[in-house]
Amino acid sequence: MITKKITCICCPLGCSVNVIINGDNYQVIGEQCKRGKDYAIQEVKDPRRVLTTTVKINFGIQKMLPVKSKNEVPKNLLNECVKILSKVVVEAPIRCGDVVYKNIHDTRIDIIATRDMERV
Amino acid sequence: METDVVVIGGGPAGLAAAAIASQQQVDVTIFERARELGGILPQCIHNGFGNFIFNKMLTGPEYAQHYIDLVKKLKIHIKTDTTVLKITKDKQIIATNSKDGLFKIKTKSIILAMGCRERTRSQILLPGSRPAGIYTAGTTQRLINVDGIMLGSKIVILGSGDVGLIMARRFILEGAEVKGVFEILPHPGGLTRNIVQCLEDFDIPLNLCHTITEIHGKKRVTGVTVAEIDRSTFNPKKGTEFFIPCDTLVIAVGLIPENELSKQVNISMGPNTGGPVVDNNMQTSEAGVFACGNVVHVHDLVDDVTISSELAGKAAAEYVKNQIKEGALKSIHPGKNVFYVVPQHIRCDLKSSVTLYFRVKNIMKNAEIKLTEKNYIVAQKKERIVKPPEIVKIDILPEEANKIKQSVEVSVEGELF
Ligand SMILES: Cc1cc2nc3c(=O)[nH]c(=O)nc-3n(C[C@H](O)[C@H](O)[C@H](O)COP(=O)(O)OP(=O)(O)OC[C@H]3O[C@@H](n4cnc5c(N)ncnc54)[C@H](O)[C@@H]3O)c2cc1C
Ligand code: SF4
Repeated sequence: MITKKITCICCPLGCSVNVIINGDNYQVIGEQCKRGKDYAIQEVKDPRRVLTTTVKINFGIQKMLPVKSKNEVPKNLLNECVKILSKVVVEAPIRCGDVVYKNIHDTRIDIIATRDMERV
Repeated sequence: METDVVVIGGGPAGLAAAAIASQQQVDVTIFERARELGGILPQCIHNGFGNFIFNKMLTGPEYAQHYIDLVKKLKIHIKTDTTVLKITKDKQIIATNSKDGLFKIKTKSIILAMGCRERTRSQILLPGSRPAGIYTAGTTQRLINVDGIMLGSKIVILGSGDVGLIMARRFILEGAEVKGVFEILPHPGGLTRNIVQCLEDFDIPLNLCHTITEIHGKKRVTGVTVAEIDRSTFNPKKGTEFFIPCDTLVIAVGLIPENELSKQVNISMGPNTGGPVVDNNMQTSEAGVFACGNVVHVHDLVDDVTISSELAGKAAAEYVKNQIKEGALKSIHPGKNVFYVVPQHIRCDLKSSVTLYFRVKNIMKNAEIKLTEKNYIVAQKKERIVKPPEIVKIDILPEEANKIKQSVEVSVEGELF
């Protein structure tokens, strides 16, 4: 049995929630609503985040192109994904939403540009 | 040169105001000091923008892109790389860029949308020598996210404002080590979401009631001395000092509205906002001069910037067409536990409701928010929690606003947290 402490971020109240994990059984303590309960269990089972970083771009009006993961990636892969993307170089012009890297870290999640970048 | 509406600043505030004004068939010109439109958004690559307006979390560049596309579709004159140096009471604008040099333009209305800038080390009286490796948080954000320059490998962050928190995560993902965030106040300066997703996610320690008492290093920062703060005197407690080795110090101690231009025409400034006093049309004390976005007060959410800037844009166009309705001026004051409230005036006859934005002084639970004139309650609402870093809003219905005789006060009562 382990207890994990989660701060719920679903509303400004920011409740401190404890999740007691007992095999497949999750008991949530301290939440003040259903949203908080669902969030806390998701956070303990499979925490995910949208990854945002930059990749190098050649011939663009700026040197770096901001990108994000189209869907949330598992939190523990964030570091690895950033490392992969630090080696990626793209070329201007780019449109907001263009895929710059497919299926990152075998997550089946694509990395897309978050702005237009004109060619100089 | 002549135009109807000059918008100074091409950030989210200026873009939204310009788009709406242009849609009312007036001639609009945007002046932007930077090379690109978007204000600070192109460097805010994290997601967390537009939840309210677009119903989804966008990144800063995506949010900006939407409004850049919009103004480019409209017949708006866009002058980037152009800095406005001076504005005058008779609405002449003096600006400069490398192509046209110094030039003058006459306008009927002005929208101030210059945003804000960061407080610096000297403004918080941080002692020590001046080695390299000290940056404001926003500068690190631009250097890393736009210019692709990595700044250091051992980072200390002073202040827990949102920019600092977001940069803490960015430094970690870029392979640096963040030694800690030090905040002088007993509560964090940034949003809870950022405390969780930027610090807790990466086990970065947040030290409340702490400050930096000395910066070490001759050529480059080699470390800082940190001490605990006495909660009543705000002085460092003797004997609590400790040394942290680092090569980079990031100062994230907040933003202040950029109002050098506004002061040139003697616009009235709000006491605690750092920006111009405005009415429900975002008009300043100077007729035909409007202000919106971070130049008015520091916003935590860009959605609120867009919404109030659209009011400014619409009103500026109406001013140009002589259609602006100006009823009697009623004032709105901050009352108990309220630091400031914007707008500070309303001009009635209102046809639609007015949203008041305010900041509280303390964290409070089960807060009761009241807008009163003497004993009459103009509006009220309850919030489960209110915090200084998060703007609180309350709406006044037009029929209630029109009943206000002279002035109303916003007050908050609740359990101190
Ligand atoms: C690091 C950071 C993180 C943030 N995170 C979030 C978030 O997650 N979610 C969210 O909703 N909001 C967030 N915000 C808040 C939001 O980005 C701001 O409220 C918003 O950008 C303010 O817009 P603005 O147009 O008023 O100012 P700005 O974006 O600062 O734009 C002002 C523009 O005016 C120009 N200018 C200034 N003076 C002159 C002059 N004299 N002549 C010509 N041009 C001039 C400047 O160059 C600039 O481009 C964040 C802000 C920061 C700083
Ligand atoms: S548990 Fe419910 S009330 Fe508490 S922070 Fe989460 S969403 Fe808000």
